Amino acid sequence: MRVGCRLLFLITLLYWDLCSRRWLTMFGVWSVCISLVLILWGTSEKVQGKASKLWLQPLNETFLQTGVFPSGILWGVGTAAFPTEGSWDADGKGESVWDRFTRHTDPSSNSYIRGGGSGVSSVSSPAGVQHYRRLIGKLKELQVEPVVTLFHWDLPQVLQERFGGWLNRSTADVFADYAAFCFRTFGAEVRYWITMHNPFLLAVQGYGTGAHAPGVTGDPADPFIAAHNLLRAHAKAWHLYDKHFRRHQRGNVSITLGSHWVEPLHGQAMPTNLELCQKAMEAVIGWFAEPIYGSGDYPESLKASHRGVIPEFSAQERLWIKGTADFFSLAFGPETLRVGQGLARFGQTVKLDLRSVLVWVQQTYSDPQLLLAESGWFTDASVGVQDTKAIYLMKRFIMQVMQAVSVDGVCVFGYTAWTLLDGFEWNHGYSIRRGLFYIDFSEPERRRLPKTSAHFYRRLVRDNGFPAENTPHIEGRLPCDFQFGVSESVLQFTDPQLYRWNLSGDGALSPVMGILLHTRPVQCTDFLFIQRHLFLLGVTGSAHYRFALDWTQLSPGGDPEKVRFYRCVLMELQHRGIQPVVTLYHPSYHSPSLGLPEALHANGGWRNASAVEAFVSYAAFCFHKFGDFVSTWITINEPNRLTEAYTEDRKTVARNMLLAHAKAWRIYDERFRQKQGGGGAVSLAIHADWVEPANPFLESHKSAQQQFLAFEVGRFLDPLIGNEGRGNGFSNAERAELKGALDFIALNHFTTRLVAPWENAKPQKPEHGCALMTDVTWPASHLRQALVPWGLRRMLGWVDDQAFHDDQLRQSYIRSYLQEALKGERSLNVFLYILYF
Amino acid sequence: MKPDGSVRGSPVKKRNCVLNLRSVKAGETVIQSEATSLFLCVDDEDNLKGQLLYSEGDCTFQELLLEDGYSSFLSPHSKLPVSLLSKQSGQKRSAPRSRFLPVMNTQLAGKEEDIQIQDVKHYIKDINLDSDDPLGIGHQSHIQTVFSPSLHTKK
Repeated sequence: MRVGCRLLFLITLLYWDLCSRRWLTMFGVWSVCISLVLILWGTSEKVQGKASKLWLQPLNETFLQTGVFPSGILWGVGTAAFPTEGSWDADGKGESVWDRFTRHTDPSSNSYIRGGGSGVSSVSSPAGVQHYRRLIGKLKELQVEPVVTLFHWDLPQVLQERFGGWLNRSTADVFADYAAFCFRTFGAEVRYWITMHNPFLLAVQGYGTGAHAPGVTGDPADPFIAAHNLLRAHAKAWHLYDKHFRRHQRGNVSITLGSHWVEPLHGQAMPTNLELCQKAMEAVIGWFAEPIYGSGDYPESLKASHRGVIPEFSAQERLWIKGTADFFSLAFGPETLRVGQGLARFGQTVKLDLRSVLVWVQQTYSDPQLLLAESGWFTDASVGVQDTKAIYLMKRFIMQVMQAVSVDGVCVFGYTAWTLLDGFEWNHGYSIRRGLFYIDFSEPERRRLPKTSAHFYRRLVRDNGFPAENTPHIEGRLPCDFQFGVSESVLQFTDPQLYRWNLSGDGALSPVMGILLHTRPVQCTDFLFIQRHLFLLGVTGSAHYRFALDWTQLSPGGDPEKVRFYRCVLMELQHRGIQPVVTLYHPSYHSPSLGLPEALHANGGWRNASAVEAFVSYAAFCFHKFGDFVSTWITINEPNRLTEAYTEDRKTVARNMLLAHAKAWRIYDERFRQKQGGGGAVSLAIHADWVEPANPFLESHKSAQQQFLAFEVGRFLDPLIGNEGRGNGFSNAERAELKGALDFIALNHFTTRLVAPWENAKPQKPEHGCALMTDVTWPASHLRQALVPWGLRRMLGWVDDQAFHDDQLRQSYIRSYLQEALKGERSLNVFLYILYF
Repeated sequence: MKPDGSVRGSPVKKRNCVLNLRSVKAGETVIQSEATSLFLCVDDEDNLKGQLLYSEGDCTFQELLLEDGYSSFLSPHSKLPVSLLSKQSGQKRSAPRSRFLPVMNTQLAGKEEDIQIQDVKHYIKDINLDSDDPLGIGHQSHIQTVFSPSLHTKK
């Protein structure tokens, strides 16, 4: 089903450029569907108090990752005039405050703006009009909806010089004339008008901090005066349209307001923090939104903080300003967030949460129809066409919008990615890039090259969001011999230490050094631990239980007490009808010797070949002592992770572990398999998290994925399943010994990550040769493990491919910590086996 | 860290528990006692001790930012994580005490402040809006390790 979505193109008028339409065709041409219904949103009461609840009851946490937008939503790209248009002194164009601000030209060379009756409008230069007419015409030809912004900060310089720009009341009248001219000239073809873009930044940076043109600073009242006049200008323009043009042009007029987002400090939703959060919002977006969408006046908190400095609206003016917008237009970009963080956060925490902002607007201004007129981040100037991180930032913002629409019911009717081209970024000049298209400014031709984020956006627009994968939801049963089980690492048992129990204090047990108690020989029932532990196991209804033996305790020789403990566990399991799966060696950082007997560890651990023989003896010992009860064995847990604990000789370490496993397998195969009924199985468990190429549009990233998997998993799996290639430096004899030395494949899978080629010279390139990244749209556990269920399926698929067609090896045993991601740490972890043929 | 250079974990926050962390290179951290100015170093047996003179080979720790936000510091000799557990201790049940979180110093310099007055403020970094990666999509280069709950198990 082809979704009919529409494209919008946000443009600003004033100057002209040879803006080419060929880039627009990149985004595809869509059939025009239903025309948008104009929403007249109702009058709103003062709802400031209500919004505070948003921080008190956080939004429904959602793991929603897929979803498409309503059909008919406008997908678009925005541009501003000053950065994209060409020379200021060509074809009758006049100088703007930004020309002056950036160039500091000699005033005497300024060419006055030619114009019509009011003497100001530079657009009345015929060339300018023709340019915009052509542009709009072409857009309509391509069935792209133009959303036209009248003013994006580039005030004609002459107004600044002669009248003081926005500090002068009459600038609002000049603006109104200009607006009328535009409505008259272009209104036949334009349905969406924005009077101005982000007046907050203009007022604060232009007349407060001085970071933007005209760069006025000094008087704390100036930003408020400028804002006051900007609001009046907007209202005049709206009323003009309403009175003279709406009837036959049937368009909509609004104003784009920028916002940031804050949350209570440290997540503590105390009344003071909530008030400050509300105050922070009011100081940035409420400043302009409250007069227009709210009560008609400035927010109370703003008036209170700046009494005497902030101008007042008369009662009549309030009535006149209130309601002067046909829809809500929102900008959520880095500069507003930055300025907000610097000047208006009142000690609260700034967050990049677009969903919350949308809901705040919905709740504060009576659920208006909303256009997102600016969204996106920036990259450093050094980032070229391969802008991988930008993809994920865009993905996250759009996903947040989708969640606001699907879960919270916010009426978003358009999304605008900012911006089309790399270019001049105001006070940041050329040090950052925000375009979907890359421009190399040193190139004379100034070609526009689509970045990978442009490809991503195109795909997203084509799909109208994030459609669920085509794999159907399967309702099925796992085969009868599919076992659910629970896993544990090393079990503890008797402790001969004497403890002092600080009962009256912190209740802690502190060991008394130097004293070891003699305990009598234990009975199985003495191991209270077992009963309690296995009771919990019974509760889960598991049919299998995996745990690890403690090599440090069972070696050398094997203390009969310890052996007895484990046999008790195994007997108890058998008694309860639970199948044990036993890991011989489960290394962990918890043990100072990495789970090895102290002597081996002191001798270099797995770097020393003696560890191999020691392990084989240990394995044989375990097979002998416990084989009556155990039919499924894991020799080593996650050897690929353990190699990282060593700083030198990692290849040797890996090699020794593989050989140790293979030899142990052979011992089992030769001496124990028959004896124990022939139903036994031995393998080793490989840590097998999945990786996805970070940038799906780059071949180099797909290669990185294969490289990573080969290193992480292939390195251990290949010799065992007989795959050629990775050459771990095994001799022919060793290769023969390794081949086939496993009865099934065991994988430990927890999560999925993104992978990319390693780029930096330093620090040192990691062994796997890749850079790891996170998809910030994936939900994550408190240990920041991403919850990516389909990663498991892909890992299985990959392993299946690697194992070729050896039927025996198609049995896969998987342990998954999927629940861990949701529940956090638990002492019992769920795993599942999948047996398939 | 005591003035005699001995190092141990303490449940009570005192002046000589305040340590300054300084990054000398990406992923490499130098730890110095605020009270005594001794540097945290490892000796030949890979034990922690405080010493007056800084030597790069003994006193620079590799800082691993774990995926849960905690850090672990690896010994320059053995690359094993720094732990506040003594090697001899038989406390197998408790956590290995090798994960650290930098917190704000609540001890005012020069005063023996009573700890119960102030809450420990966790050091939460402000989101960096000047960065083109404000959400940390690309991991900091020194956390390119693949984390497995299995290896880092707390038990």
